[in-house]
Amino acid sequence: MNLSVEPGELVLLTGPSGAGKTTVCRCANGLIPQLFPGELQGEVLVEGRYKTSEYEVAALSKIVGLMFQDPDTQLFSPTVREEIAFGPENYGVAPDDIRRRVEVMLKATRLQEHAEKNPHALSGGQQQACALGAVLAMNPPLLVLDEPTSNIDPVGSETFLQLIKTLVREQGLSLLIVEHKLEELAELVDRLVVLDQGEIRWQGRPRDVLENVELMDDLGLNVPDVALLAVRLRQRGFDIPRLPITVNEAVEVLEPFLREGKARVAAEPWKRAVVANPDANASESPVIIQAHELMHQYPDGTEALKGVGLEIREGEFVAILGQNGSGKTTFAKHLNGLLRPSSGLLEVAGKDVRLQKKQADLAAVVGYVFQDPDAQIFKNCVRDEIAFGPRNLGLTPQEVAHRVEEVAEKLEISHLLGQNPFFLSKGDKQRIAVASVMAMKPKVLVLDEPTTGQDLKRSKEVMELTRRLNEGGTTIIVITHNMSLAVEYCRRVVVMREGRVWLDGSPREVFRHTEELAASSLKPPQITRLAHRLAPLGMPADVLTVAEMVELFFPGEVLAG
Amino acid sequence: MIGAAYASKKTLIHRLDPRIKLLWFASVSFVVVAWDDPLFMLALIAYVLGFARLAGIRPGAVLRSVAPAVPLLLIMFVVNLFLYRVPWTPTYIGYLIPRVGGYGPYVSVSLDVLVFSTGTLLRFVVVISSAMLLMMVTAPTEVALGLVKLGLPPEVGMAVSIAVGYVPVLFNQISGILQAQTSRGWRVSTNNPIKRLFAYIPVFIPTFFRSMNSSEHLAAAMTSRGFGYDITHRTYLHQLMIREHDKIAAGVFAGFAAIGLVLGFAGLARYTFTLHLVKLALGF
Repeated sequence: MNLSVEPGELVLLTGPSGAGKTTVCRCANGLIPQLFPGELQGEVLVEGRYKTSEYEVAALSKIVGLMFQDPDTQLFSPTVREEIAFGPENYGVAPDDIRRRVEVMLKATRLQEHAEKNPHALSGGQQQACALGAVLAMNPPLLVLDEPTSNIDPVGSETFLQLIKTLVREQGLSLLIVEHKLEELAELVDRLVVLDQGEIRWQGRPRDVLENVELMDDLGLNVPDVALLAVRLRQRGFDIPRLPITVNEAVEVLEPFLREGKARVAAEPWKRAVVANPDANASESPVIIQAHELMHQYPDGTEALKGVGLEIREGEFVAILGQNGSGKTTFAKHLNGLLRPSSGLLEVAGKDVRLQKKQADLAAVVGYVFQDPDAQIFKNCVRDEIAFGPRNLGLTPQEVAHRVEEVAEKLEISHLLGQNPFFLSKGDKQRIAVASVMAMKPKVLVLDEPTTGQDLKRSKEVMELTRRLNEGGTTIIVITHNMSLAVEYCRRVVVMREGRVWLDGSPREVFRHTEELAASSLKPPQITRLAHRLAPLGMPADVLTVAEMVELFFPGEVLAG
Repeated sequence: MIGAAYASKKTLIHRLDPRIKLLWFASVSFVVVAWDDPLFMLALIAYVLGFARLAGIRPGAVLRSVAPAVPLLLIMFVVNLFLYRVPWTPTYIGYLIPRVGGYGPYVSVSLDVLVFSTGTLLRFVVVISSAMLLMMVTAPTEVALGLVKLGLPPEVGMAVSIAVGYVPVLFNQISGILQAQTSRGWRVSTNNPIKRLFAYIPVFIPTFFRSMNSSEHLAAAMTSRGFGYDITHRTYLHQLMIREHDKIAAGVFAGFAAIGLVLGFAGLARYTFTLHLVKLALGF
């Protein structure tokens, strides 16, 4: 592969998992081959003359500032101030100069008031801002960012990307950024590079590359909805010369069509499509989770739940949304007894949780899959790993073995049963984690942010898996930040805010409440935001997918006729 | 936790150079080795609490920091009562285990051993409380920097500082692992210490695996920020400077240590001091 970043150039690198994006970043400052060995052919030159195989990473980092995805493993100082000072200290910068740089960076990253805090006590967005400040304090002319927002919440992610935009311009940096959020960054960068399986598929000006939006969509990339919409409309005969990337651009492009009456706005067929209620069966089934005025206070005094009222029926597929600190996870951890209510009522499968003395009894009814499969894998054989849960339930060896086989077949991992889980891919590990919980045959399965830190393709695989489990009768509760996935897979969306249920209904109902969503800092899918903007011209405000909106526009033939 | 104990304040003690604070700790440590008399130990505790007072820390907070070690201290105390014997004829005052029915009494306790054991107990109270106090008044990086300036390699200083900065992350990771395994029905239902150890394997292994993983990423992040570039010419944000008040404090601490050591070697601060006083008072 050949790739170069010119001085002052801003390059956005994207691609599905396994494309080699992180490898590119690690090559940039010599981490590959020096710290992460492997077979490397060809060479990487920094500033046109320093071979990365010949200079130390610590030396190359003076020129190439590399920032990583995970805040947990790149912040290691006792305070934010010291974190930012760390780089300049290593390069022997004079203390007065270090102090100056730290002050500049604290201001730039808006962390002045947090300077004396432990970096890990900050929110996700602030942690990454701190990491960025720490890298920029070394004054590197080139900044390399490896998925800086993939592990943090949407609010933090948005603030962070804003910060990048401002700082890159202010400081006149060169930039190589790996990101999935094309919509936010396409405007900023000079060049978009799409990587797939270690090769560059497309590169060029973002708008030119996005002409391949359908192919990119097939690759599992997170393409801007409005670009996809524009391409589909073109195929129907609409004349759209300049591809829109942002909602604003799309409004400009589509407004004339709507004014000319070329869209079937608020028309009858649309209404009919909406009425169909996929949850018709579920509303008949018995209630499995019932919360009433549920409150929870942590030992430090934080009131995480301030009266949650929620009813979930058997067989439902529910997404719980909300920004960090809204109480989603705290609520979910009550369902299998990891946390106990401070007050209020919670019934799971008809039993009051306060009367359930043994946590294991609840764990058998409500399975809980954590975000990181590495938090639980400890056996050196997949079969034993999956058997751990059922064994804890005290089942007979025959029954345990039977359940392992059964669940492995259901989740299509039978071929992995003899393998060592530690050496499997993250996707496979996650399947094993789900299997190890499903082997306990819970009626309800809670998945805590199963798609965070994963690209769209992997995320969809996880969601497909849960959809199959749901079709098999398991009630599914997914905690997620990803609106588009919630819309696509979940039949019910619960939005939490400040320890209470804020919105509850089908995705379509919930996403109609623009103002309430904004108040809870949630951003509906791009296509829905476009629909909201076009609503004054008669567009239904609850369009959820690109396909739906395409249907609203008259096909080309009709226009011609 | 160690890192959580430190709170930034602007007292005279907080402003001392970390090396001087380490000297204070050293002065207490030397003296505690030279002495073993309970009354002298109380004086030493007063010295530690006085230092705390100057640092704006309530004596109660310092003593509370010893609380986690109390069970261990009590065990040591009882073991001393069992095993320590004086090389002269002691004054017996009773039995550790009284007569119950037809059994006992067992383990005779002498005044001599009781006084000695009390001294030893207080010795540990001094060591723990002074170490905790040092952590309360010295930022982790200051400790690291102080150690480096006293001649330890910078890598060691870095390790100290990272260890402290990383405590919250480790804590979160372990609690996440505990919850993940609890969700799979894991629980520890035995009181047998060996079995308990084995029962924690589902927690140990993921903790170990994740730490290995994290350390690789941490190493990458540190080198990418220039660590190891030219370690002998590394500079520090915080400058260490011995000022006038540092010198005065150093003089006081060194003087205290000198007097303490002289008293100790002269045999005045031996536990026999208190022992004689008590015997005199009780008329033995």
